[in-house]
Formats: sequence, C-alpha cells, structure tokens
Amino acid sequence: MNGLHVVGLSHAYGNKQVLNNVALMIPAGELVCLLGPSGCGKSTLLRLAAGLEEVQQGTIVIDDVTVASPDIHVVPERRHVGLMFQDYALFPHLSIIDNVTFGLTGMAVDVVRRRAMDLLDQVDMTSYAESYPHTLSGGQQQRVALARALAPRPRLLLLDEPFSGLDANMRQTIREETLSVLKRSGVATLMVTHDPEEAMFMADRIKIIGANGRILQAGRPHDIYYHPNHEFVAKMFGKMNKFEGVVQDGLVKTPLGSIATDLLDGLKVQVLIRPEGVILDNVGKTASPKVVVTSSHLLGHDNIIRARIGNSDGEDLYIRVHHTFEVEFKKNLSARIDPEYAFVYAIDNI
Amino acid sequence: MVELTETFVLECEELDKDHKRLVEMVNDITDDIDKGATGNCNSKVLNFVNFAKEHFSREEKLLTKNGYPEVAKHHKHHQTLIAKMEHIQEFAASAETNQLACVSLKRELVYFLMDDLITTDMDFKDHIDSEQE
Repeated sequence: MNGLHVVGLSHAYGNKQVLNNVALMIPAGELVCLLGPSGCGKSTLLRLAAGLEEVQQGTIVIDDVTVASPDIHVVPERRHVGLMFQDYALFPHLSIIDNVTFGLTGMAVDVVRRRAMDLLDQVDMTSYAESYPHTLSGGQQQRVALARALAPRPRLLLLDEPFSGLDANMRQTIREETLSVLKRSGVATLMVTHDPEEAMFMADRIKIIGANGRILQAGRPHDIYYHPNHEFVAKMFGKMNKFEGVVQDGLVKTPLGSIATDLLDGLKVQVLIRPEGVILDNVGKTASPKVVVTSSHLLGHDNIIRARIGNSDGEDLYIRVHHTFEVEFKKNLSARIDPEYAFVYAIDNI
Repeated sequence: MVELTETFVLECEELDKDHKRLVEMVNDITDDIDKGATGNCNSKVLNFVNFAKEHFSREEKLLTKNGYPEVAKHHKHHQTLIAKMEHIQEFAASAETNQLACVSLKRELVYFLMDDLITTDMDFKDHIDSEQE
C-alpha cells in the first residue's frame, strides 16, 4: 500500500527511552498528526522516517519498500521524503525559484522551471519567484518551503511544527492553504505538533504520544476529543474539572450529579469534565447544586467562568459558556454535567 | 487497495489466514465504493465486523494457549476496536446515500484494518516466533 508504515519502532538516547513500540500507518493522500508534549519523541520519529537517524528497533516502510530496520538504512536522499520545519530553512542566498528547484535533479532545465512555477502557483507565490527569502514574511516563506518540499514529488512529507513560528492569524491562513495543497498533491503526510487545535484541524487521524514515548490513543479527531481513553489524552485539550468518587450501581456520584460508567462497582475513579461540559441553569429549574460565580472572562466567542459549588468552601469549577451568557445578571445559578463531555477513569490505571 | 507485504506476516498460519481474509473483505468494500456500487456496503461491512470479532476471539484463545504475557492488554485493545466498529457500521449505513459517509467509511476501514488491527498484532510476532522455535 502506498504511504508510510511504521511497525514496532523503539528508540533510546542512552538510558532515555524516547519511542516505545510505536506503530502507525499513513495511506497516500492522508495526513496523520502526532500530538504530544515536548520531549515525547515526536521529532525523533520524524527524523527516523527521514533517515536522519538509524533505527534501533522496528521497521519503517515507505510505498511498500522497507527503508529502515536494524539491518537496513536507506540514505535520506533515496527515500523520496520531503521535509518542512518551523524555521522554513530556505537558502538565503538563492532566489525563491532557485530554492524550489534546488532538489530537482535529472530533469531538463525547462521541465524543472515549469515544475517549480507550478508549485509556486499552487501556494500563490509566483510573483515572488525572483525575490529573495529575507524580503518575504514568515507566512510567505512557509508557503515557499511547502512548494520546495513538494517539488520533487515525495512519497512522504514530514512536517515538524510547521506553523509554530507564525502569529495566530497567519497560522490559521497558512494551515488552511497548506492542507488544501497537501490534499491536492495526494502525498502521505506525517505532521508533529504540540498544539491540539492544530492537530484537530489538520489531521485525518491523530496519534497521541505520552511522555513515555508510547502511543496512548489513535483515532479521528472526533474520537480523540469525545472518547479519550486515558486521562492524559483528555487533558491534552486543556483544563478539566476533576472529581473523585467510587462506582456504585454503575454510577459515580459527583457534586454536580451522577455519571454513568461501565467500570466495576467499588472501583475508585476520577471524573474529568470539559469546561463546556458544565451546564449552568437558573436555580429552581433543576435539582442541581447552586453555584456562585467568582470570575468571568470574555474570550470573544466564549466566556470562561470560574464558579464555586455551594458555599465558599465548595469546589471550584472551570466553565466555558457562550459569550451571550451574561453572567453578571444571573445570580441564582445551578450547575449540572453534560455527559458527552465527562469521562470516568479508574484511579489505579492512572 | 491494501496488500499484506512481508512486514505484516506473523508466521502463524491461523492468524495470517484471518488477516488475509480481512484484507480481502476490506478491498472488496473499498473497491465497491470506488466503483460507486455502494448498495451492498452495509451488508458487506456487517460481514466484516462479524468476521473481525471471530478473529479477535480466535486470536485471544491462541495467545492464551501460547502463554502470551499481555493477553489481557490485547483483549482490552480488541474491546476498543469493537467500539470503533460501531462507528464504521454507522458510516456503512449511510454509504448508499451519502458521499461523505462513503469517504469516511473507506478511510476508517483502511485505518482500522492496517493501523489498529494488523500493525498492532505485530506486537506479539516475536512471542509467536520464539514459541515456534
């Protein structure tokens, strides 16, 4: 099958194990994001796939050809892999067109130029063909870096935090454009990021790597967000509300009501609830506990509210509500849980 | 089109035969989707799901018999795959009338087969090898 296949990849630097039996597959035309904290081995996996480091344990297959195993090491230039990093890495002394044509060898000059101009057209940079990198903005340089990476028609494209050097507005624009170009190119793409929102936006499939270098969960962005199978995965997407309890008759009691679980009765568990999973109502509408709002911050579309359950000694809640929720006029509030955003984990497994 | 290359051969006849059958079933479904013949997707996916469940059961019995130390972990993994197959069946149910469901069905089947199922089974390849020696 065309694309990337990694089986049983483990890697260590001295005593530090950075990848632990990692497996992944990317069919041609698909984009998989590796999401995890700094130092979890994401970039190491990229370097191994590119051939910049030798594999200690496991196998890497690109388009049905084994390019790396403990016994095989195909050199980077023969793997047909494109690379794109956050620092763009354009050659400062070469014009934009020369940067894009740099890796195109073994072709007639006019074919090379046509290919480069076609790529620059795809990233909307043809008018800058004769310019030099220092005259371009960060976003423009990243577009050129993408054109250069795709010019040799790689079998696999590796993106290492490609948008992290851009400001928020530019990042949104460039990642939308990049995704569109990648989908048209049909190349298998592996992207590493520590930004969950970016992974959700870009990926056909997300792989979460834990601090131990092990893949904790793989799935569609929807699966990862709504069905996290591990506390670590749930917390990747930001602050959670947390309660502890014991399973009784398939339910866990929390100060905001009971949550159903299929974990065994008697098990000590924690319940994690996303900020948008705490629903505020007017007191009297439900039997839910009363809450007192202690602060409210407008984030544009949403409000982030901090509230306390019951009296002043109650537990703190972290709640996300729509911006139209005018908290200062709503003194008598109660809170309940939206079960879609609540997850129960056995404490022994954490 | 999915093909089982040498990398994914377990050298265990029973399980390799199952994997081969699962690959054939997925290729048949994705082939139908490519041809726009989505009328039978639902029933073919149901057959795939049932066969996958039988495979999980056969595999767990075999691993238990061979003393594989991580059978419980692998059983748990199978349970998550059974949950994922519910999503795949939802896509299949809409495949005949919804193009987006077809695209998702094809994608999820291939990932499920190669990434979640066969690649993860490579974890016990070394154990099987050592048992056979």
